[in-house]
Amino acid sequence: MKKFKWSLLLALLFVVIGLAACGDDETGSSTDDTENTSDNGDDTSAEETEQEEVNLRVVTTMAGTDPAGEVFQQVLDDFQEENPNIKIENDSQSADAGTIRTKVNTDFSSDNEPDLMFYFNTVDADGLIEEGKVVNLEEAEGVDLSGYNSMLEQQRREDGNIYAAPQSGFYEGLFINKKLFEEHGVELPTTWEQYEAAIEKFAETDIVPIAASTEDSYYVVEHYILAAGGMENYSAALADKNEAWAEGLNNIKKHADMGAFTPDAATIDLALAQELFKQEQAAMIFEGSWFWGQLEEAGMGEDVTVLPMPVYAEGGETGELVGGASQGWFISTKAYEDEAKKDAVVSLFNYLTSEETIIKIAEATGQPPAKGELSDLADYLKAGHDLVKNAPAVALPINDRIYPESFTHMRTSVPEIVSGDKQGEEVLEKAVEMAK
Amino acid sequence: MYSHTEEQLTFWEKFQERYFMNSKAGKIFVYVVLTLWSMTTIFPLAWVLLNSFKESRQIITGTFNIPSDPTMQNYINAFETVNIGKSYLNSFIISGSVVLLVLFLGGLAAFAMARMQFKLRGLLQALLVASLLIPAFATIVPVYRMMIGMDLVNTYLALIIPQTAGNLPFAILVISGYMATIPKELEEAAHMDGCGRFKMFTKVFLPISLPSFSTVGIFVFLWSYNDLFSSLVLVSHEKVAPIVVLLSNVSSQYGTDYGLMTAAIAMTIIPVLIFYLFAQKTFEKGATSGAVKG
Amino acid sequence: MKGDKLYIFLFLTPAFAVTGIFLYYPFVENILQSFYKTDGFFNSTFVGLENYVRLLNDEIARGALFNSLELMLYVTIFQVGIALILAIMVNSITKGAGFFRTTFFFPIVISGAAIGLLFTLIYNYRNGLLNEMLVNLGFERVLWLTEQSSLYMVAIPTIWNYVGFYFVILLTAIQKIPNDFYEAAQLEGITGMQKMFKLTIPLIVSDLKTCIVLAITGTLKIFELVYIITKGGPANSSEVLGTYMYQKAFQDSAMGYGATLAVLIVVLGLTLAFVTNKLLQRDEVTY
Repeated sequence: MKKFKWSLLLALLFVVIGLAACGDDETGSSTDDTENTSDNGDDTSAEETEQEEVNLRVVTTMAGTDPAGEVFQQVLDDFQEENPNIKIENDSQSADAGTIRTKVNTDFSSDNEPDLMFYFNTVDADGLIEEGKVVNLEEAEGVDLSGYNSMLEQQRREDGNIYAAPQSGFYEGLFINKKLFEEHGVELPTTWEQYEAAIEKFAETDIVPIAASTEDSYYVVEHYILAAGGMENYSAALADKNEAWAEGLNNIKKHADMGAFTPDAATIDLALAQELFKQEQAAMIFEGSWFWGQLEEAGMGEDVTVLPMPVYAEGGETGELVGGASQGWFISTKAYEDEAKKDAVVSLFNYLTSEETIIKIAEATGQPPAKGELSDLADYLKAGHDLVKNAPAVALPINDRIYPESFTHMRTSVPEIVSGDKQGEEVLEKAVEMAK
Repeated sequence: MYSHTEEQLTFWEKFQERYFMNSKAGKIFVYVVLTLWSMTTIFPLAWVLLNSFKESRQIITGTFNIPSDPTMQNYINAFETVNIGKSYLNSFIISGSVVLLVLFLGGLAAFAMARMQFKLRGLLQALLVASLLIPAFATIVPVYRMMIGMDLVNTYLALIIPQTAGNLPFAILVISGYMATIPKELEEAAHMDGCGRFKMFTKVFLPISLPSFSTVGIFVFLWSYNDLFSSLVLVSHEKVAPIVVLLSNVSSQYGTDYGLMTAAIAMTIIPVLIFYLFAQKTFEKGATSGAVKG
Repeated sequence: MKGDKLYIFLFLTPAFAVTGIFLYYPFVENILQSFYKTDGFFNSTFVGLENYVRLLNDEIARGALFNSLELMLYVTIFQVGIALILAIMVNSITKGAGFFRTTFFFPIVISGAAIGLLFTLIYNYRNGLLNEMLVNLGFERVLWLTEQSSLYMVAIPTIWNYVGFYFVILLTAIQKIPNDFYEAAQLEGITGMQKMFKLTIPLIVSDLKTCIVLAITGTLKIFELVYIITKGGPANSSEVLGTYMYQKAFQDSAMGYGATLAVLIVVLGLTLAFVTNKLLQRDEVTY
């Protein structure tokens, strides 16, 4: 009996190892195949390269519950149908899990880069660009960059080149529950004074004036700096130790003392802050245009409107926005320089950045597209898109452009600023020091 | 610590003995404590299951209510996002291999660590403890690079090998802790019977230590199976992705789908519970059959 | 025994080869990184001991260190303690033992993400379970997660979550004690509580030691629950080494400094495990 049990266990062990080995074999043989095809490619050289099978690996963040995920897979399927010789491996994963940066960076530094990717054209891509791992799109042969609106120009890097072609943009702003404002007889905050008055009024009621997390205070920090400094100071470099930044941080404390946030603002996360707003327990929230999807799901799209942050700084102008396009399509240098892949990757790139595809994906997300315009938009969405169109200036969020540790320090110090343990100036000083 | 030597019973010990252990009241007290604790442990499971039948919104607003209008939508969504059958199979191939490899390699090593004398023993012991402390975040990038180098990314082995390595120290420590207390007479008896070391391991120590093998097996399975972080990096592709990868699909910048999340968790729990019940049976048997006369 | 050398080599090599290549070697790379200011991939400057100097002067790291140690104290005492009591209790009963053994295991099965969310919803100020109950009873809402309380509030789910783990290990250990022992003890008149202290605990002391080592090493790596429930806040009051390392290495792209924190975790854990081992040193019992 006992013997039987052990032989059973051993047998199981071998079966599983065998299975694992089989799994290995399977992929092993598939890599052999690709090697074979590239060998053949050398033999027959230019002759009928189009008929050769090409495998492309595409990495994006459009996966899971991202509304673009399904549409994107559909687009890829359509493309493969039109080009039967091109096989696409869709290696997308949600950016929220936090592993995508690690994966992309390791891939690129280990000679395993994806051929095409939809990735952050922010401080995250600095390394890839400096190392020449991605293609300068304007000089790339066959790449079509026509038809873009101003979002393309925003992708231009400090070195003067464009490495990423945007898909759609986003904007951030002050989302307002109009219904609550009406019920409580509060004026919509189009100026700084009205904004402060709204905070004061709601603080007297059971309604939380602003749903926010002070630990996860990305949008709060950005908008308070924008209000205190206007676009000119907002887009200043971190090293400038701009006074408006410190002033903005200190304003958060001032408003917290007025009762602007919930008592547990320091420990809730963004999702719970959003929940406060969606349950109509809060009157305002700083969010981005992706928030509309959730509002629609909660059935309150019509009750909400989005306003630009009221700017009180001299030289600033209300209407200036935090926004832009932080993600774009990159072509890896390795794929571009590979004769067997070059044509395929360029044609896939052009397909994905065609107006038709861009609109298709933008329709799923409701974001302002980088080419063309969405039709049949709900009024509230249209209002948002108009905000972007009429903005005197648009700039990317601060955390997309400064050294990550510095921004984390600023953001996670907000609870201490609120409690009075730290001053905006001090925090900024330390953040600058960290970036050195 | 407590010693073996006979001592006079203290007043408190006598008191406890009379009122807790040997009386009805004592039994009731034990059952009350156990029941209370089991209520706290059943609660989260019930919470997950109930919430998996609610809409996302209700999970935050009325998370502790019974679902008023139960819906299967979350499960339907889960089935649509990934190929569930394939993911389960992937999970079992990966975690099953990890468990068997860890038990086999770890069992042998534990036997040597527990029952044989050699110079490096102390050092190896320290190394094992140290490896329990290495955070996965610290090793993932080099491991991923090695897998790229060996052309194993997105194959089962890409996850099986590092998870085996990561769980071996735990297995060796626990199993050798268990083996250390097996009577020396048994070892000597086996030796007299002409058993070599390997035979001694398979014929004597392995059967006796079966309960600890099951315990270790359960936890190794659990950790391997729930390891989202490494799975996302090493085996993200649909062909080989295990079931936990579903969990990563529940949130994007457009919000977190809590309904899908609870459904995904419910679906990941079920196989582990089955595995646990199965393994528990095994170690119960082992415990009785392995009860050696000392 | 004679000829053991060969067997020691044969038995140990496969296991240590696998861990060596896929665990120790990557960690050695991690140690090397701790001497660089680097994002781990493209920008890398050798800075010598600068990361370690920074560690010495880093107030948040110091806070995280003390929080980790405090948490470790609670976890070791309560987790292993409660698990031991429960294991002895379950071992003493006959009816329903299987039921408790199964249910006590539940919390470990459920992923940290779910347990974290559950406790977030319990502690939440506006709509959380605790405050809803208070409001229904006519009390004021209480802010559960404050700078003073946050560490305790994350300690509770952390302890509770893994009691089942030590419970299973200890129960396995207790059940290996041959019945003869108890019978013999009974003849000598040892029963009840005394049995527990004089017989059970001494006989499973090597397993208890294993549990304590596991508890110490486990707490140093704690990440998920704390990260979800408080994010280490408010104002870093519940920051632990695990969350701080994750933040530096993966959110802030400061891999070099993150690697330094990983080294701290390992060195600290080793020291503590060594000290515990010395403190608990006694002859291991065989039956």
